Amino acid sequence: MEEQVDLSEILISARLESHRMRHFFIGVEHLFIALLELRGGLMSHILADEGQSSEFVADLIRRKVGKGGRTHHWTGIPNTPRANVVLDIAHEVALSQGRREVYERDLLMAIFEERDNLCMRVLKALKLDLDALRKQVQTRPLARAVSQTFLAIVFAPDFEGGLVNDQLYILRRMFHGYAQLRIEARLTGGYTSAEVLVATPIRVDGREDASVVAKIDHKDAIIEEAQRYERFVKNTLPPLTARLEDKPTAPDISDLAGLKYTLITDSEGKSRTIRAVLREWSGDRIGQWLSQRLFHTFGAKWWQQRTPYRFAVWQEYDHLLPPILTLEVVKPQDLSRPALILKDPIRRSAVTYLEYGTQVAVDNFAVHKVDEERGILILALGQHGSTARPYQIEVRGIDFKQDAYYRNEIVERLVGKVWLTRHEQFLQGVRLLQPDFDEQAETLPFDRDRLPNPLVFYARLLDVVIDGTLCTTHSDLHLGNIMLGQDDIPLLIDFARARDGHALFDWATLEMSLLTELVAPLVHSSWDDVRAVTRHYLLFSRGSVLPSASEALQNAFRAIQGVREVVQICLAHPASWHEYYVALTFLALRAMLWESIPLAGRRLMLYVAAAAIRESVGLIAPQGQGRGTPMDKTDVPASLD
Amino acid sequence: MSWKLRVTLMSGIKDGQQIELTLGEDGHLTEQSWSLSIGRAEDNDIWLSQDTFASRYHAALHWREDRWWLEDKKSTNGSFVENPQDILEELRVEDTTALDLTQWIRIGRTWLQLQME
Repeated sequence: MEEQVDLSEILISARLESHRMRHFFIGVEHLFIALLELRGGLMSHILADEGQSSEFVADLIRRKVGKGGRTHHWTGIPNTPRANVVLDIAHEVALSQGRREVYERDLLMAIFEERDNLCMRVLKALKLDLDALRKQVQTRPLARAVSQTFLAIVFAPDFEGGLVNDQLYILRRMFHGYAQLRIEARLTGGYTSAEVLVATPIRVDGREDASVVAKIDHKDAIIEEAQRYERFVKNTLPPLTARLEDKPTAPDISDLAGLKYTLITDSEGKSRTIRAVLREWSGDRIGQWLSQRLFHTFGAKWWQQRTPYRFAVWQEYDHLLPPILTLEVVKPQDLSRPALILKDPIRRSAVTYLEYGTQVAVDNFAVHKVDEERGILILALGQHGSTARPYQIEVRGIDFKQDAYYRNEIVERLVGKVWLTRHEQFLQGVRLLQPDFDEQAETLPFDRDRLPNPLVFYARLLDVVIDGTLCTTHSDLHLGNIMLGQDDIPLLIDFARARDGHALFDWATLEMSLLTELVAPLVHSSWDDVRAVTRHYLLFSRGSVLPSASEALQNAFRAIQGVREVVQICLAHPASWHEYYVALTFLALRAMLWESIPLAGRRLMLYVAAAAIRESVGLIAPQGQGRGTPMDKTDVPASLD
Repeated sequence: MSWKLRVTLMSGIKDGQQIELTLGEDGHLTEQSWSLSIGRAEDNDIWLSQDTFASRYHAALHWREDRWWLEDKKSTNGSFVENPQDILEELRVEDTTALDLTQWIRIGRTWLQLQME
């Protein structure tokens, strides 16, 4: 006997949906979204088979319908004419089976039968075959009643750590139909929330299938990654590389989702990232491998197909920084006239020093991320997935039961009280480093010399216009995302951020990754040592390595040299390295705030940012006059040692 | 060609409602065109009574040169048509645009579908 959900239950959730959208009527869209939201519901299973998540489909429908206004001119919550037609059909379907009660399947059948509604139009826009879906609605057994073969998950002997229940659940769904799954290894970890595993599925008859890479992450991130893979990556990959296998698995009842990539192994049958061989390989070998193998394998379709691109730095790099504002949402009864209305175009100076508690209205920003668990909404400027989203605003204290928000929605207005500005967040970040200098001064001490303080100068750098180039970029090209294949061919994974962007971004990301992996561990946490290493780094950037640099440091610089060789090829103007240092500045500032990096590393990042700003000198108009201002090139001493 | 236009509301509280407009009976006729007005005011040919996002005189449909055109009457919230390449995307109508009848149009918060009879 199938466990049934009847109409009254669906109507309750349809009403809630209508309320959250401020519609105050029941339309087919509310009924359909209620059906999509049913736990273990028929429609979400059917969509999952098609590689679609019901949440994603619900958001598309919400976006097409749009939110209602503050006022409406009727009482109660009436049905639309079309909803009445659909409900009539549902009753007929039930009656034809000798029932008075209308069940989930009857209502779904009715919506497919009516056909002419907005929900069906959205499914059609997703290139789904409505006839095939309708057949599924008619015949698919209810998942709640289906006994699933239990997939046993075992771990290889040398696998360290474990997995949480939610992750195991996703793996069971991803490898549904197998008898066993053996988790061989964990590939990354570190900065992202994603879990990337090598797994071998084993059939009921005991035979093993090919191992794959399984990636588990938040649902939004996984779906985004699958979409970006389709859009930017799929058709630009070299013939031998990791590919997305299957569509994402995004079950309705979990916040997580999973993706499968083909597994790649090196000549010894191991799957290793380039990060894993950093200590084995010499700096020379790493540098050469990056500039020869990596650049030439992916370059042809990516970094070598550059087109001229003129951009303001904030367009490409603001998204690396903390939210420009963190707000706490203001309840309607506490609303007062906002002191500031933020809308496109943004004047950053207006938000830099806002006082705690000031009411700020944010107009027509797009929803970038929804974190229902923590009640947080991240808004950002711009609504298209292809560009990096600048000017993020974090809004805390949202009650998602009251108001529905969905990705990419344009929110007409949200009012919040200032909780934290970006400036304060940076100051807090630097204070955690226990500075031996004034963190608000224009310059940082650098032995007998000074370096520009990034906290003072980053904002001006954001407004600089760069003549650079644009191409397809991976946009998260750290060492853990590059794998070694047969004969050390390079293979990339994790395309969640792939886009068309500044061509040098990937290489600056790689340099930053080499700095954190190879250079930061060599630094003692004393500020003097941080400054000494920074001095070597600055000199290396200008083409010379001092004999006083330790062998390990020289080795690290040889690896970075590989990156620099590629950058030299990719610069829009061969002599204008500032195009690259701008990217480094913002990547270093981001890394400085990462708590997963040890103190010495974060201290180094502040100084790397300062050194990079020094090297972008000339881009920023000096505020003072001539000599002696921190941005004046003559300030760089002739001899640095 | 036939001389009836059927407009179906595809969203909002009146979703499913159909409005039939006949040449010679409804709208405004000149030698060049047949025009129908859309808006929140009661005297529009296509009256969107419950849509607070629609302007009083929001837009107009024109039949001329053998096809339908949508004109935005400088409405507050704009008139939109689906992008035929990706119907999940909408394009704002600046001034006047030619319509393909497979495209839905959005006035305020109301989606409309047009059919010739």
